[in-house]
Amino acid sequence: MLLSHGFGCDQNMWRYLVPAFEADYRLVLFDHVGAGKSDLGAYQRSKYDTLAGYAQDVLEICDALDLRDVVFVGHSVSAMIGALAVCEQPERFAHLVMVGPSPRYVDDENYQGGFSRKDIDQLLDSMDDNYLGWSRAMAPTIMGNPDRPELSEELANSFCRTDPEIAKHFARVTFLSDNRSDLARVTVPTLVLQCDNDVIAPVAVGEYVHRNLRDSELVVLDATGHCPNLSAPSEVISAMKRYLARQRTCRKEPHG
Amino acid sequence: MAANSTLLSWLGYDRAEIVGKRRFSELMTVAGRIFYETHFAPLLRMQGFVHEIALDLVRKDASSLSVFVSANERRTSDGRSEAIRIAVFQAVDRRKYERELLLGRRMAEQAMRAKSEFLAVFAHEVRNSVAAVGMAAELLQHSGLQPDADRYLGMLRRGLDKALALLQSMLDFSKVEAGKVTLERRRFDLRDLLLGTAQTLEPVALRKQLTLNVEIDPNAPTHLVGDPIKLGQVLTNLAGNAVKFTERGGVTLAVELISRAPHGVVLKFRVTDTGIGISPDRITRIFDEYSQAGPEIAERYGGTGLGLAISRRIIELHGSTICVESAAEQGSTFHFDVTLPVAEPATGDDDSP
Repeated sequence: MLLSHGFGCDQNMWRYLVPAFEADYRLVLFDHVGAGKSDLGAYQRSKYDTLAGYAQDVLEICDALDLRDVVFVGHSVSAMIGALAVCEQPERFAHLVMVGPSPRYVDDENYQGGFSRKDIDQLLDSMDDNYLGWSRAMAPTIMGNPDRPELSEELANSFCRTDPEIAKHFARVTFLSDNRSDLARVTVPTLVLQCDNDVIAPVAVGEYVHRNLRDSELVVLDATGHCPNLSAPSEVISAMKRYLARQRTCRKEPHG
Repeated sequence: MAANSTLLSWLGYDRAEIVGKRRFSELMTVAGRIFYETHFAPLLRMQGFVHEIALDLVRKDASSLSVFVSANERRTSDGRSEAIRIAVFQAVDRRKYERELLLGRRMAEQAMRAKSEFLAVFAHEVRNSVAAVGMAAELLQHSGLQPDADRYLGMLRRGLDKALALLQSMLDFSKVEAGKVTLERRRFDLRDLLLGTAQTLEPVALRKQLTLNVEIDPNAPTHLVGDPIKLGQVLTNLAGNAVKFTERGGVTLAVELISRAPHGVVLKFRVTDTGIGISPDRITRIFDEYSQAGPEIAERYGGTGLGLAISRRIIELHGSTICVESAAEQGSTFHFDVTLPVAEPATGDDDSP
C-alpha cells in the first residue's frame, strides 16, 4: 500500500491509518519533493510544472522498491497523481483509493470545480503571507497523543512544512490542473472517498469522478473538512477495508 | 462557533448572526478556507495547536481584515476533539509591512540575478575578443620580428594572457554562482593531484627562491573517487596565493587522513606559507568576491580576488568549508576537510605508498 499525501501536508497525515493496515500490507509512505523531509535539491521547476512530474516520482518509487499489486492511496491532488501513474503503468497497480479527489478545481462550462480563477489567484497571492511566519507555526514538541509514544522530538517541525516557493508552485500546478480526461483512462478498480462537507472537493466533484471512472465505488463519509484521514480516520479505515475485502473476493484471478 | 464582542466588532457582525450559526472557516476568504483546510486544520489535528497562521477574514461589509490566528484544541481522553479555542490578532499594518518586505527581497534577488547573467554574457563576449587578439599576437611574434618589436610584442602578449585569465575567472565564478557547476565522480590519484599542483608552481617558487614542500600522509589511500579538476583548481588557487604572498621561506602542500568511514575517508588538505599573513580585521573578508586583504595588496600583487571565492564555493559543493589561520607578518594556513570514497583497486595499480 503506497500512501501519497496531498497539498499542504506531508506523510505524517497518514499516521492514524498506518496501524490499521501495517499487519496486512507492506506500507510505503513518502514526502513529495518539496514537502516534509524530502530533498529540496531534487526540485526542478520544469519537471514539477505538471502533475505528471509527481506521477513519475510515484513510478520511480514503485520501481526502486519493486512494488507490485500496489494499492495506491492518494489524498486530494495525489488522487489524480495516482490516476496518472496508473494510466502510465496499469500493470503495477491493483487498486486506487482516492481521498477527496478533484480532477479540476476551477469552474468550467458545465463543470463545477468549486472555485473561480480569481479565487485561485488570491490563494497564490496569500501563500506569501505565511512565507515568513510558517516556521514559527511549527510545533516545538509533539503533544496530544498518549497512545503514540513513538512520536518524538524528531518529528517536530516537520508537519506541513514545505519550502515556500515550492509550495506556491505546487499550489499553482494543483489548483490550475485539469485532468478530467484522464479519469476515463484509469483501468484499475477505484474507491472514491468523499467527505459530505468539503470545500475543496465538494460532493458534486466526487460524483463526477465516480461517474467518469470505469470501475469505481463512491463512499460519502459523514465527515467535514478535507482530511478525513485525520478528522475521521476510523471511518476511512472501515470504508477502505470493506472495499478491499470485497474486491479480493470478487476477483477470480489476482491482479498483475 | 462562539465569539467575544471584540471579534464581532472587528467583523461588523451581531452576535446573533455568528454565534451558533457559522463556522469559523466561513469567515475567511476563499483563499483562506483553502489554506485552512489544507494546512491549518491538519496541523491542528496532528499537533493539538497552531501558532500564528496568517489569514484574511471577511467582514460583514465584504472588506477583508488581515489577522494572525493561533488555536488550541482540547481533546477527550480518547483523542477526539472537544473544543477549539482560537485567538485572533489584528495584523493590518504588520501584514502590509511583511508583504512589502517580501516584495523588496524578491526584487533585490531578481536584480542580482539579472546583473550576474549580464556579467557572464559580457565576460564571455569580451573573452572571445581578447582571445582572438591573443592569437593574432602569437602569430605576429612568430613572423620574424626585429628584437625590439619582439620584446614589445612579448609585453603585449603577457598583458593579454593576464586579461584572459581575469575573464576566465569571472566566467568560472558566474558559473559557480549560478549553481551550474556539479562535481564529477572520477577515479584519481591523490599523489598525482598534490605533486601536479606543486609542479605548476615550481617556476615561480624557484624565481622567488622559496621552498616548495609536499607532505602526503602515508596512511591516506592513494586512489580516490572525486573531482580532481576542481580539487586541483582549489589547491592551485590556495598554493598560488601562498607563493604570491610569500617573500622568504616557503610553502607546504599537505594532505592528512583524519578518519575512515564505510562511505569514504575524511582528508584534510592544508596549504601553509611563511608569507605576509592576513591581519585579523581583514581575515573575514578575504573569501568575499573582489575583496583582497586591502587595496595596497591588489596594487602590489595583482589579481581579481575571485579565486578564493570560487575555491570556497567549490569546497562548499563538497559539503565543507575552507578555514584559515593567519596573522600579519606570520604566514597563513588555509585548510579544508573533504570526504571522498576510496576507489576500487584496479588492475595494474601500485597501491604501495
